[in-house]
Amino acid sequence: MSGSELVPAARKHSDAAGEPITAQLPADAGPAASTGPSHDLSLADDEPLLRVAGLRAGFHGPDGITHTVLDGVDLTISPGEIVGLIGETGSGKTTLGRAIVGLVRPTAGTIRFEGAQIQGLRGRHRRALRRRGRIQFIFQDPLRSLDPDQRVTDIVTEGLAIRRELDPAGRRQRAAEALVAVGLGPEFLDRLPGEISGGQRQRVAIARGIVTHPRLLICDEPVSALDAANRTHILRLLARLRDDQAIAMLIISHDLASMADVADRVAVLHNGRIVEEGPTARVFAAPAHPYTQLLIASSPRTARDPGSGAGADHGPGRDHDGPERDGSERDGRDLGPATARPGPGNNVAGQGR
Amino acid sequence: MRHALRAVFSSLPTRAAGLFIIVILTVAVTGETLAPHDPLAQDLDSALAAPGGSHWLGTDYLGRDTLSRLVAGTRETILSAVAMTALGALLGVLPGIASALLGRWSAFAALRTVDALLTLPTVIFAVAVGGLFSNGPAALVIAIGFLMAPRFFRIVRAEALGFSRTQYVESAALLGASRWWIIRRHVGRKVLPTIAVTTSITLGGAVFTSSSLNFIGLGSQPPAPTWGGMLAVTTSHLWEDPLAPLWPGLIIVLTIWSFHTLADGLREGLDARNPRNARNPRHSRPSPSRTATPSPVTSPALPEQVGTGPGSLLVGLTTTGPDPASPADGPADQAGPSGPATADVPDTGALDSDVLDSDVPDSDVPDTNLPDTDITDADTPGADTADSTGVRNVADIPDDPSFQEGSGAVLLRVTDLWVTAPTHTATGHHGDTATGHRGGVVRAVSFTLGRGEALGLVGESGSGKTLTCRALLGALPEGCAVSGGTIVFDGQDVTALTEKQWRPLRGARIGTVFQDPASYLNPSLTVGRQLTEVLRRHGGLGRQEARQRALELLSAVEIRDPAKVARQIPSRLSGGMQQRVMLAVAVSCEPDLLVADEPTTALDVRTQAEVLALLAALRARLNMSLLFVTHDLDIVAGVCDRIAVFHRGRIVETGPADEIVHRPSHPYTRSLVAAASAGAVPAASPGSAQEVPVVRV
Repeated sequence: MSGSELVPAARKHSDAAGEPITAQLPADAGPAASTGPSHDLSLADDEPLLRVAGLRAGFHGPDGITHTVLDGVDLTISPGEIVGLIGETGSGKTTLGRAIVGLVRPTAGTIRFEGAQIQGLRGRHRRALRRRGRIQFIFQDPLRSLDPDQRVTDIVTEGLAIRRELDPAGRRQRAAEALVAVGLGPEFLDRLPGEISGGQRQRVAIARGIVTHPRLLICDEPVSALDAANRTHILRLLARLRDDQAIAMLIISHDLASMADVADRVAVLHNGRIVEEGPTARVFAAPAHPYTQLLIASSPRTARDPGSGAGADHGPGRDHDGPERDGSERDGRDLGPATARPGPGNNVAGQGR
Repeated sequence: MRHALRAVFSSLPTRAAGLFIIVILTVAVTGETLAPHDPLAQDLDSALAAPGGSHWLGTDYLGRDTLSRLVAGTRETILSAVAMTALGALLGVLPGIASALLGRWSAFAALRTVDALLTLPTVIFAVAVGGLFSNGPAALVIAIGFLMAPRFFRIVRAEALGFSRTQYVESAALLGASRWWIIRRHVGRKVLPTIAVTTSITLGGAVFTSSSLNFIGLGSQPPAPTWGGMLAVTTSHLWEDPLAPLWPGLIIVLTIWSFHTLADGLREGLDARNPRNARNPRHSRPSPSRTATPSPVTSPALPEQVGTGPGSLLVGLTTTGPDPASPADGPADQAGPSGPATADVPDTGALDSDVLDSDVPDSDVPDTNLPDTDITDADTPGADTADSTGVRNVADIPDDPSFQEGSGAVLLRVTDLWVTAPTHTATGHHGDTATGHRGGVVRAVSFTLGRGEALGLVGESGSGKTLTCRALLGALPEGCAVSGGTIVFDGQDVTALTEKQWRPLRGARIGTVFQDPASYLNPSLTVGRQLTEVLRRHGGLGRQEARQRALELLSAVEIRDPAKVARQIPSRLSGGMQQRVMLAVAVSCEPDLLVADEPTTALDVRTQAEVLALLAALRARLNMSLLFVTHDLDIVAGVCDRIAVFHRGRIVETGPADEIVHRPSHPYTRSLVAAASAGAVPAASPGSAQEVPVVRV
């Protein structure tokens, strides 16, 4: 990502539709949040593990237009909490996850982890932070995130090896323990990623994530590359790891329904802004924002109930999915309450130009 | 390692080339000791002697033995070629890898330096260096080696750049890895095959360059024998001895050929392990064994099938009935498959368990809950629709009320299809590897698809649904082969068609949509151009007509501004739009059958719903049959009339879509339904989910 002055100057946040709908959570920031990093809303009970405030990020498109991907995002995660981050393609959810771990450089805003500011770290300082292994990242597709030429034991313990912790035998022991924690036996230690199945690969990736005893795990679509049975089990595995090891998690997903059993809280990201946030049960039962309502309505799972037929019921949609890069130009303002009903008439996120 | 070597030397030319290189290298090392005569000894009496006698290849104008001079010249020529290449690799490889991982500015500086070096003309530079220092072999080696470095640099850099952008390198960076760590641990090793290939090609080039320079009198000076020098001398006596230049010329050509052939072998042998190649399904060609007459009897993968009585009945059927598809005898041959196909399942327990061992911890319906014998359990509980064999199924379908059998109504009939996969091959597909160890990955699959009908093939990854589909398209991945059964498309047996015979079918009569549209669209051509190309080639339309039709098609797939989208290249479009374009391409020739392999898996839910609706609409409008492959039971019900559930290479249940989703009879289907709903709303199928509880991790 290039440039540091690509925040579009005057983006109005006062627009009703684009505003975060606030729930009664300590993490909640309120409308003022998107104006900048200065506000301090840490509420009494617990200091959050991660606090993202007013985060913006974007990139220069090939046509010279500046695209805003994140447009003032506020998010907090408490220790041991699982937060589901929901949004469709191009909503900026992956960018947010990558910004937290420093793979994307934000243009404004702050990211605080365990009380220390971590955005903008570079070079040695960034590496030092990463080597502590307190934040780990799980990629969507384990086939691509695991080196095909490395044995599982080396993959899992790479973080330990990088910071020169333990000798090879000790690391192997730790790898075996991590594998057991994710439900794989020690017989996997010497396999190559190509020799195990998709679900097993994702377990290996998770084992790599937890071997350094992280406090925060960021999972970017951890199950969308897997089949239905594996999805459920990986999500349950994540929930169990949270219970056993008190690891907080940010689970990024386009599938609201899959978060129902796992997340304590969900945040819905739309056009680079969090439009709704609250306890999972509350969001499911009474989605306040029209976009969330739409997401819930278009989930094939919710539509599969007896009688309602199938996902195809939603009518021939329009080509709402214009060029992906147009994310910035689709505006939350399109989302009037009248358009919440899925169907041909709605103009949500209509094609960009 | 041994495996890689075998792969490299799998073809006859590479073996020959390897052998020749070994001989040449041996001669280069031993040098004059092998020569029958002293290569410098002159014998003017036998000058320009013809081959024969003690001078096997004759003599030159000074009576020196040609063979001995060739042998002695080998050392000079080969050693300088090796030295040049080594110097080039030394100077090029590490900087090439490093520059891929460096910051923008240092990479820029390195690239411009290399560009400057590349502009230097080799021979003139060598002459200049020779003139500046000494006109000896060492100066030449240094000059040429220096000029070879940029070549290594650029190739290695490009390759390393590709690997440095992989997610596992990103993962390593997220663990705090330094650049040096990433080179050592991840990138360096991956670049090795490329280095080997480049080295081999460069060696050939170095032999050529050093011979050329010797030919024009640079480097080693006479009387020291070199191949290039010998060529020069013999060409000046061309009138007296026209055959003489043949020997040095031949050995130069053979050496260069060998290095290049070896490079080809290295590229193919080492790159086969490269997942990036295996991943791209466009590379997959039907393997030669596919064209063999499909005969289950000869297949080693089928012992248990041949063993059973009904199985042999089946064998007879497939081998004796070459054309079971002709509409007339449709009902007659259906009685066969439907019986035996169910009956031959029970004795596969052993095969299953060892094929799938590695899958067990992951398919979280553990064996205790779903032993393979369940598949055929006669008393599948709660299966009110089950027929006498206990499974609602199988195959064809006379007993499937949803399928109306009748002449002409059958578009596609798959009978007892077996597909084998190579052992331990990383195919790059999710999960396919896990089940690809031995035996069939598609086992005795039979189904029928009527005209205008939509059939969903559902199953988890690795269950064989995708391979079944690819078999139907004659596009199995490398190494996979149809080992038995027949596929009949519209009355034509397509099981053993050649690639050429497939061509008029694919695209024109069978359209395809895959999970990842981006990898099937040409990234550098506009959408409109790709569409018109298909229309002109398959549909025989003129330029103008095709353009018009392309726009129509784009609006048919509900793209709002077809003219604008037609001018875009695929990467400018979102995943949903790309999939629409793929759909437009697939239906452009109004195929009879559309095969959609996980077409919406990569899309988010809203786009997914829209693409599915579009699919249904197109199918209705064009009266296409649809074969819809997915792992997601949730979406299939709305799109398909019937569903076939795949499990471990077999179809375990077939039936009308609603039936399967809401009242699954097979335990595996029930676990699928349960798993699909477990993540979200309460189970949609009353009375089924609790019978096969999904086990806690």
